[in-house]
Amino acid sequence: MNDVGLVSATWRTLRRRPDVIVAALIVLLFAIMAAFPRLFTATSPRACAIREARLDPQGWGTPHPLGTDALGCDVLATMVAGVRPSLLLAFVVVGVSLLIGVTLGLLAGYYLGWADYLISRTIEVFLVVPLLLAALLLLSLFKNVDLGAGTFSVILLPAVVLTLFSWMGYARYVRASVLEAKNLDYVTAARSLGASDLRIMFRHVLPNAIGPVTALVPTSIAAVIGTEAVLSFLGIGVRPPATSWGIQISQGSEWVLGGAPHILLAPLICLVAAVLSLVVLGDALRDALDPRLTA
Amino acid sequence: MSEPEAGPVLEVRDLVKHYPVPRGVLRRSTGAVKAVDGISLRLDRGRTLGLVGESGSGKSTLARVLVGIEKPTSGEVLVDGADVTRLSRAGRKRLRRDVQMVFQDPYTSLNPRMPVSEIVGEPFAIHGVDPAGGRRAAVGELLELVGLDPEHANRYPHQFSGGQRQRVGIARALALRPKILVCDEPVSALDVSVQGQVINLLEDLQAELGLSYLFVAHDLGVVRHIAHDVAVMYLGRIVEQGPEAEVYDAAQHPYTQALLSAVPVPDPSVRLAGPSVEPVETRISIGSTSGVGVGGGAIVLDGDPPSPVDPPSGCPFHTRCWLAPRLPEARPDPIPSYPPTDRPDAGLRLVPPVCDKEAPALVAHPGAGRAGPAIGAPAAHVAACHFARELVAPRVEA
Repeated sequence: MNDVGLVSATWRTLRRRPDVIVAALIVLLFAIMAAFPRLFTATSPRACAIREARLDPQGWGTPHPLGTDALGCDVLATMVAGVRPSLLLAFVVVGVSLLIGVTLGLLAGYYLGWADYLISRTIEVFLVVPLLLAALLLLSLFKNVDLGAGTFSVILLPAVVLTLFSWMGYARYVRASVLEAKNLDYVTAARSLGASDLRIMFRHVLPNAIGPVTALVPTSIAAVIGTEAVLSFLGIGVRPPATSWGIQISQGSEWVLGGAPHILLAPLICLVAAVLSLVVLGDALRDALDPRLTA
Repeated sequence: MSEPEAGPVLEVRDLVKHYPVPRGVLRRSTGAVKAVDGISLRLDRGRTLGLVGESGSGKSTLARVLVGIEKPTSGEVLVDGADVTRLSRAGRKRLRRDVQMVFQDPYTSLNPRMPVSEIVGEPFAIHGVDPAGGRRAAVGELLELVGLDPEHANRYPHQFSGGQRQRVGIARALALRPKILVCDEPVSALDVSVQGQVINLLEDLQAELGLSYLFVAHDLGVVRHIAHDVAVMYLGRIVEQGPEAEVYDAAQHPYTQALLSAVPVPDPSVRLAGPSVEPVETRISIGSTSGVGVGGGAIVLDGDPPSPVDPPSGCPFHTRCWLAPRLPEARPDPIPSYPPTDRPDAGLRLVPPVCDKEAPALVAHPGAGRAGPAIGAPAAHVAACHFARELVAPRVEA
C-alpha cells in the first residue's frame, strides 16, 4: 500500500525484539570501525617492533591494549585495519553472487527449456571446478597487473574469484523454489489476467521464492571471510600491506598453543559477533517482510 | 432473473488440445495426451453452462484454454464472434478482459504477500485501466459487490476465511467487467455451508451484471442448482449436452446415467429401498458378469477412464459401458483382449460391433425425452451414443 506504513510497521516489529537491537548495535559498531578506524586506535598496524612480539593484552590505555602478534604488530590496530577490507569483500561477493544467482535461477526455473538446460549445465561446470585451482589460474593471469592500493583494489582479485564460485548455490535454491511457486494458482491467475512475464516474475514468483535464499546469506558472509584467508596464502587474497580478519585468524591459529591465543581470539570474536548479528538481523527482516508472520 | 438478450457470447468449435509426450534421448514426440479432443460448445448471454465429468475428462484443460492460459492445438474459440485463437498478443490481452476465471482453491489462488487491495486492483495495473474515481475506490466497490467490507482492503489473504478468500478471487475476476466467467470448481474446496453462500453470490452477480458462466464442477447437485444447460465430458469429448432439466431427468447416455446414479441421496430410506434402475425401453436380462451393478441404486463403472494418450476405438466409453454388453446387438464372437491377461473373464466382454468401430455423433435422439420436448430451446438435448435411451434414474435434487 503506502511505503511509509510498511516502514513504520516493520520498525515496530523490529523494536519489540531486544536481540535485534543488540545485533543492530554490533553491526553499527563495525560499520563505524570500517569508516573511521582512527576512533579506535592511534597505533598504525604497520608499526611493528619484533622485540615486542607476542605481548599479552595489556588493557585499555596502554600502547598495546590487545597485545601484539608474532611480528610485534599491534593486534587491535591490525584488527581495526582489517574490518574494512573484510566486510567490504564479504558484502561485495555475497551481493554480486546473489544478483547473478537469483537472476539465473529465476530465468532457469521460469522459462525452463533451453534456458534452464544452459544455466543448469553452467552451474554444474562451476561446481566441479576446484576453487583453489581456478584461483591459481587467476593468480597467474593477474600476477603482473598493478591494481593500485585503494580499498576496493586490494579486494578486487579475491572478490572476482570468490564471486565466480559462490553464485551457484543461490541459483539452485532460487530455481527450485521458482519451480514450486510458478505453478501455484495465483501465478496462473495473473497470467490469465494478461500479466507480462516480468510482472509475474517480480511481483508473484520471486517474493514467494526468495525465502530459502535469505537464510543462506549471513552464513555465506562468514564463509567468504574465512575463504579469503585461504586465498591470501596463495597471494591472491587481500593484498599486503593491507590486512584482513582472515589473514589474522590464519596467522593467529599457529600461536594458540604457543602461549599467545589472543592473536587468534581477537579477530575470531569479531568475526563471530559480526556473523551472528547478521543472522539475527536477516531473520528479523525476513519475519518483518512476511505478512503471514506479522499479524 | 431478467431475460437477457439472446445470442451466443462464447462459441467453441472443434476445439482440440493435445499435449505431446516426449520420449527417449532425442525427446521426440511419440504421441499426445488428447486432453480435449474436438469439443464444440455454445454459451448464451446471461446463461450458465455446467460442465461435468470425472477427473481427467479434460474439463479443466478446456477451462484453461478458454481463458487463454493454454493455446489450443486446433479449433476456434469465438468470443462475441471474434476468434481469440487467431489474435495477436495485444488483441488477446484485450480479449482477456472479456473472459475471466475463478479458481478452485482459494488458498493458493491469492498471492500471500499482497494485500487484498493490491490483488483486486492488479487487473487495473496490468491493463493500465484507471476506473472513474480512482483504483482505490474501484477496489472498494468491487469488494462491496462480492459482499466484503471495503475497510478490510489492507488485510492479507491469510486473515480471511476460505469463503471470504473465494469472494476476493471473484472480485479480482470481475475487476475488468468481463462478459464470461469461467469457474473451475469454484466451491469444491469450501465447506458445504459456505458453498451455498458463494453459489448464491454468483447467481446474484449474474442477475446484476448479466454475466455468462461456464461452470466446471464434479458436484452434480451444485451444477443442477446453478446451470441452465449441462454438458457431460468423457475422455476429452462431450458425450451428452442439453438443458439442465432434460439431462438430469431424462439422461440418454449411459455415462451420464452412471454419473447421476452415483450422486449421494441425502435420504437414507431412498438409499435403502434402492430405486429400480432399468432401461425403460428394453427389458434386457441382467445376466452379465461384467460386474456392473444396476440394482441397488448406483451404477458402478469398472476401473479408471482409459488413457487419453491412446483412447479406445469407436465410442470412447465402450470399454466401460455398462449398457453395451447387455444389448441384444452385442455380437457373439469375443473381442480379443489386449494385452492378454489371466483373468478368466478377459476377452469375454461383448459389445455391439458398432460401439468399437464407429465413433458416435453428438445428435438428438428423439425417441427418448420423458421431460418433454423443449421446442425452440437454444440448446437441444443431444447425446453421443449409438444406443442412447432413457433410464429411470434416481432424481438429483439441487
